[in-house]
Amino acid sequence: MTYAAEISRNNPGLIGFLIDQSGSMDDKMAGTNDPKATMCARYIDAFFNRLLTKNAEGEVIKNRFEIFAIGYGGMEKDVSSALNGIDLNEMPISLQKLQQSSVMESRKKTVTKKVPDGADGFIEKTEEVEVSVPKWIEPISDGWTPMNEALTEAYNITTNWVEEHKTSYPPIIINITDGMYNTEDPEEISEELRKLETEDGNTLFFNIHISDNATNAPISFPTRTSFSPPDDLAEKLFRMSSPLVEAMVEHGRRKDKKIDPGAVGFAYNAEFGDFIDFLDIGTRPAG
Amino acid sequence: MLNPLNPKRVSQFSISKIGENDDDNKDSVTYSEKFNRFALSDGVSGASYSREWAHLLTTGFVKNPFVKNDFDIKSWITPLQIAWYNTVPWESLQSKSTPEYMLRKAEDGGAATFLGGLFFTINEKTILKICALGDTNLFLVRGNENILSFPLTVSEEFGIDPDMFFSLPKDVNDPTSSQVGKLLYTEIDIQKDDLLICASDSISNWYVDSLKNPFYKSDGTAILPWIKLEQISSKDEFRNFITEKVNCKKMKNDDSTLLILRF
Repeated sequence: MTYAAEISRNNPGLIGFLIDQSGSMDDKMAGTNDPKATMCARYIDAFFNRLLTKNAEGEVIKNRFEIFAIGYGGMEKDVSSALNGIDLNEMPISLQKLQQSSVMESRKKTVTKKVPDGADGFIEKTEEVEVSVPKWIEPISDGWTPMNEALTEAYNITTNWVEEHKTSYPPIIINITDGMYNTEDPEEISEELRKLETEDGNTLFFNIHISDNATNAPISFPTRTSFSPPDDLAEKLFRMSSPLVEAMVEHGRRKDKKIDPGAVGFAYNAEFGDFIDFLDIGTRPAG
Repeated sequence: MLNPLNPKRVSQFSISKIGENDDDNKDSVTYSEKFNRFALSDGVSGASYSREWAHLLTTGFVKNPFVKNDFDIKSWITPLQIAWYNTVPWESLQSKSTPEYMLRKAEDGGAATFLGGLFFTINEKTILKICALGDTNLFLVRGNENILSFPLTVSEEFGIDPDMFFSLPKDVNDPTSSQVGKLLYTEIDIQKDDLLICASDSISNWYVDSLKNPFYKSDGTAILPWIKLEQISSKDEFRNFITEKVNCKKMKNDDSTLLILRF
């Protein structure tokens, strides 16, 4: 049985993001009024917040996952860390380091909390408080789409990681892009990436093509038989993507998503809601 | 009034789930020979400060047990909730250097299952009164037979959402909102040579499975679950036993706690 390893501090998981930071990420995301780069940053931040919440115990973060996030864009072959204050050569980082690397944004919020009433029970107390919300991803949209270089970097990081974590749940790597790569073809390196394995299975590589065009029908988690590629890029990203594992399919079904056996971790022309669902389903082992 | 029968032998073990450190164990077990009481609680792993909550429930019961079926649980649980509230470092959680999610998670409160037992005598008989909320279970073995499984009796009852006590009421105006599910009571007489086993859910689930489908030795005799449990004499042996059962998929990987009293 594969994809069954328990994720724990002694046997952590790896989650990686490849984030397209090319110029076109400045266009508005379908279904929103914000640029794709902004929405992408917002929801990866939200994912990190959820992941850290799940792995927080009091004021301590339990290092049950390691993380990397690579941005690709800018000049011809610019690949860099997408995390504030973390160099590419430091990745992957622990959850504790992820928390430490965050930029805290101060916000005022009105909250209602339960406090002892001083007698024999509790009362609700509403007050305005200042809270610190951690953020990690800077929205960037500039230049080219060097997807192959980003995948090569992910391959190098993951190669070292699986060597050191033979019994761990296999790495999950998610590539988020809005368009055509314009350096070398990334398909070959994606195949090599998916071949990297732990004793529990091969690396899972998923692709989300996000859209600024709401007129084309979005496609999520297609199967080979159900998928009619709208263009060559869609076909290529489909081929580059791993099949979903059973627990992800089950989770998707519980969320009323229609996911057929053999579905692939790929979304094309994903609108805002598809993007969020994809992150939720594709990172299911993170809970 | 005579004192209740004292156990000849008491053993208790508790370990975190395999792969985690011991400080991650959210179970709590307390036995007091002086007061003839015991309690076991399994803190929910997804919540903050559940370990502290489980500890307050077990020590709270041993200090101040409730025994009547119509007991007003609010008068027992609220002081424990206030004690829990006072253990949480709110000032630190509200500081600017602490991310909001840590504060929100603490404000959601902890949660834990509960099993408490109290021995007393009536007409020279030792009686055990038990109360339980959730899937932490008790088994009583007499001779070569398991004569009581409480509160759960079959594997199908061990789900993923057990009944439990909350460290904060869900609704401050509703005295019943400090728990989900109904606190169940039972009582049974205790006799010399009885074996009492209290265990967190993963061990209990394995135990009822093993009762239903015992493993047979080559000579055709069944290996009954209490025999294996009573043979455990150290924390290392306990860890090895749990690890072996988890690795062969006979037991869920979870914090595991066991209390055994041999009378």
